[in-house]
Amino acid sequence: MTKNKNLTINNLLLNKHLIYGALPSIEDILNNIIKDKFIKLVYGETYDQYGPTIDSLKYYFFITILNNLLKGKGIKATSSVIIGDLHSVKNRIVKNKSNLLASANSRLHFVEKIRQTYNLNINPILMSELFNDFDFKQRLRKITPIFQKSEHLKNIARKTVLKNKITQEEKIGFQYTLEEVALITGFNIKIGPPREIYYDQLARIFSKELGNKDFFGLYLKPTYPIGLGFDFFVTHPEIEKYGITPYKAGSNQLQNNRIILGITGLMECKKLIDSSFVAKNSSLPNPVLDIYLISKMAGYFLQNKELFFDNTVIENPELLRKMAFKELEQNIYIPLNLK
Amino acid sequence: MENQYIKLAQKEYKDKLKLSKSIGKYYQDKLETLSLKDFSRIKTYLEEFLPETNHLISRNIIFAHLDFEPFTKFIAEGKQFTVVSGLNPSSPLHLGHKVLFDLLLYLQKLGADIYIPITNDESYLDGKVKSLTESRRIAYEEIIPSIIAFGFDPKKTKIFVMSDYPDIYNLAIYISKNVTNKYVSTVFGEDAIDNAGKSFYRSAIQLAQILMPQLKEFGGPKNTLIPVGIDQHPYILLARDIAKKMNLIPPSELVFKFQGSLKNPFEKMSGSKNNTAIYLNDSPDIIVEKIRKAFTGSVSILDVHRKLGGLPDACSVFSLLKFHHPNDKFVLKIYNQYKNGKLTMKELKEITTDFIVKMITQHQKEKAKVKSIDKFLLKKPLDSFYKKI
Repeated sequence: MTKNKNLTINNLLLNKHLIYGALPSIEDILNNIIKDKFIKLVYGETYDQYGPTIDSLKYYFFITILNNLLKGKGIKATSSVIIGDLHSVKNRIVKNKSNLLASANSRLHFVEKIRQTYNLNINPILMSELFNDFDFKQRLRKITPIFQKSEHLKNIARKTVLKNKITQEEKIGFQYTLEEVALITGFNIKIGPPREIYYDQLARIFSKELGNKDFFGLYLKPTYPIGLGFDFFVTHPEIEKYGITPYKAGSNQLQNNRIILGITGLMECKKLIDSSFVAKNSSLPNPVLDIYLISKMAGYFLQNKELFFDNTVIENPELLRKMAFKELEQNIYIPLNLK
Repeated sequence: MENQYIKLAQKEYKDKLKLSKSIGKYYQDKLETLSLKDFSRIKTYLEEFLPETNHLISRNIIFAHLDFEPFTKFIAEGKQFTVVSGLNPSSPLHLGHKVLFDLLLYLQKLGADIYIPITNDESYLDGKVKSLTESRRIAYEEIIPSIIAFGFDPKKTKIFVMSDYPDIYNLAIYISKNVTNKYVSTVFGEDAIDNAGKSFYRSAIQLAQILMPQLKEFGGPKNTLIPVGIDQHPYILLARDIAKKMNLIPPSELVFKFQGSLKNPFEKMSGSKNNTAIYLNDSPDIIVEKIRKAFTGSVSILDVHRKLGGLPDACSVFSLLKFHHPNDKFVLKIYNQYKNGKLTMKELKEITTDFIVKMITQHQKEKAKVKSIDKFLLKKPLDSFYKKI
């Protein structure tokens, strides 16, 4: 994004710091958007016992910016943030399932607090509520037999789960994946991390089967753990490629290398930022850049100023660390009353 | 008649283009079939913290690795690490060997402690020299002074001539109990072990060279990096397996592309084939003559060359610049000018000859200054494993 008053859908979706890619492509989304009069945006997240991450904010902010830009074009848009309460406890290794399920409301309150603080145009909703929705049940009923008959679709579904869980998921007919797909096919553009592409591939196929409008996946740059040296990424090519789950602080058991809102103190954030790998090459992981971008977007909503990512900051590792911390404190920690 | 020559030149271009593509494909296929990792990912990280990378990295001459990752951390933190890579003294050093020593020297500057086994036993067993005496002479009179002339630090360089370091054979005996004949023949093929000496060499002696720095005498188990040409990969696989059996750390591998022969860029420059190689003791006249007769990536009719351009990736002459000239910008400029036909073959040969003659003359001057090799020779007795055999 350059420093101008005309933030457009084009330069948002082509922003190299924010956007990873799209399914089928950014170009397809841009071409399709202008034809539409009503677009339903969605971002979905599960959670764990470690608390909400700063990385979730990136998605709340982004979906709102896109929503506002669509409206500016005369397109009616909605932005749903689905809190995956039921899916948060599906994993076998999750302990205290009842506590975690019960914490869905506090998660909802957290999103609500963010929405109010930054005046975001998002609609947080629990997955358990959507599962009772007639349309959802109808979609699930329609796609399940199509899925069960198709080896091609099952092959895609296998990619949505970790290798060590494939057998377990096969046994239950990829229920988790199908529910997820049935849910998102109720929307037009899903925003998420790159790893979710396989859900979206299925959703695109089923959207056609259901006679829905075209379905698109839009991926923000991966989230990386903070406070680690470059050697961590060298030795973890999988994390380098896909990142970690943005909305789960305990993703890859790296909860000590995340900024968890309400848990990670401001001084701890400084330590994490200062000790983190900051790459000059934009193709390499740069968790500090992400903190800078998220905090700048927060500032954009608070101050109603232009959204401007300063390249002189981004290209200077030491300045980036300094500004990331400054913007984090001013635009996130102080407004949310965090310490 | 003229048309016929043009057609021949066009055919020549097509053949060379095919060769150029097959060279690129060869390395890509090796990456996949040998399950090696592409070095370009590591290169991106190295560029983040190294003020400048070596031309072997920037030109993708180092192209693959196995477990190089821990070494990036050692390099970034300025910590010492261990590198082992040797050579077979069947001839004086040539430019193909120089690629390895340029790499070793660069690694030493980044913190490596270098072990260089001179495998004169292997030269003898493979029939590349008539006697161990001859291979010892080449090692001490030609190779070791030449290695020293590259500028290695004696405190961080340990050279040993195999037949003069008998302790290594005791280590080989100790290691050999972990290796079955069947395993060795599977890895190398029956032809590579057609006498008992070759079999012992490939199953144990070579492994002893690789694993030796992990002995107690050298500080115990540690990450060890082995820079090799692609043909040496089976040794590394074997060494990795045996290291695990012996509770040592499996050695890591760094693979570089071979310097092509002067006669065929698809073949390795070989010391035993005089016309394919430029030796570091060649005189300027010989170098001029060898480059004059080298295989090129250009066609024989100038007008066709101007129109179609040259094929630097299939050119034995350009490859001399690519593998040895230190200036990336200069080499890229020559590459582009040659590729688009602006630079003729004659001009390329003149530029290359001038550079290689100067480089080798300088090397010979440095070699002449080497008076003593003693401080580079490894003499430490090896006995930590004696109780085990």
